[in-house]
Amino acid sequence: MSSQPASATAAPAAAPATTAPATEERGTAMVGKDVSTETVPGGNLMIASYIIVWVIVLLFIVRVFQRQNEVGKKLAELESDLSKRGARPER
Amino acid sequence: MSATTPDRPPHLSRQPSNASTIAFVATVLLTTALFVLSIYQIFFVAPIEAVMGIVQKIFYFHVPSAYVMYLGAIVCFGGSAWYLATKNGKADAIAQAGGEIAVAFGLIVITTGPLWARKAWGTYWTWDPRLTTSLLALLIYVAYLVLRAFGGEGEAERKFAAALGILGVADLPIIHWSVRKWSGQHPTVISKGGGGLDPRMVPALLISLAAFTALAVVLVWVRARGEILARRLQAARDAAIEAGLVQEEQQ
Repeated sequence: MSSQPASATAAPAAAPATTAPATEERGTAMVGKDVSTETVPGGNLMIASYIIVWVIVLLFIVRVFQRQNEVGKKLAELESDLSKRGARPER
Repeated sequence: MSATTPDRPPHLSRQPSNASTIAFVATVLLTTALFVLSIYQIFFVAPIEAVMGIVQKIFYFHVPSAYVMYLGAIVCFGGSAWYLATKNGKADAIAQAGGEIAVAFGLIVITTGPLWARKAWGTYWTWDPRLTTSLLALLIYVAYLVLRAFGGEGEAERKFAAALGILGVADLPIIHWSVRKWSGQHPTVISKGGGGLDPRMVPALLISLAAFTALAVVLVWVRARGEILARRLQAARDAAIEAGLVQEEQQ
């Protein structure tokens, strides 16, 4: 009776080290990593952060440029309409 | 040099003065110089933080971005109040520029903060009071811009947007006091009760604050001026239609 539990506990412990796990076992062995022990690359996060800052500022400037183009197009349309009517728009 | 001649129509009489152009160029140059200096201070003078390491350097852009978000919200508030009091289109344009600045820098705050938090707290996001109220402020100003973009150009819509611009600023003191009132995880290093900054980190933060302030001035200036010009153009077109010089656009 006493030898039976010992062999029962020893077998699963030895199995992963010596043989490849069966397909069924692989599907049930998903263990989360403790966040506190994880090494996060701070440098990468910092670089990503600085890139985000400049990308957002750049996008803002591009949007301003696009809006100025829209105003320029509307102005050209108005000038064209006025010149068709014989009016001379001021420059 | 204000080019106002008696025979020019009113919508064409207001040209930018030389003084305004010089002031704008000077502000752009100052902004550039301050950013170069701030980057030098951040990466070559300020020490690496002992516990968090290099990721703490996000602090030097994260905090000024939050400050500029506040600034944009205050400009939006001021412009909105001015518009409601006077119905001045210029005030409305300034309010809109302020709202856009609040959204742009709010986005910076809400994306750089989680990158820092990933290293410092082990998670990108937590429903900490300051994070939640900051997200709320961003959403308020996004709503303001959506209203401006799709709400129409009528006076009632402008008044409604101005009311939102005034109400939105109410979230700012809540963000500021949230850390003290409801605790949370967000650091309180430079506010009351905080442990303070290493003296070698202070110049980097101050110069970065100055650089972001100058950038905000440039962006508000450009956006407000662009918006004012667009409205003047629309007014000129309306005047031309009324005078029978131009046909109204078919919808």
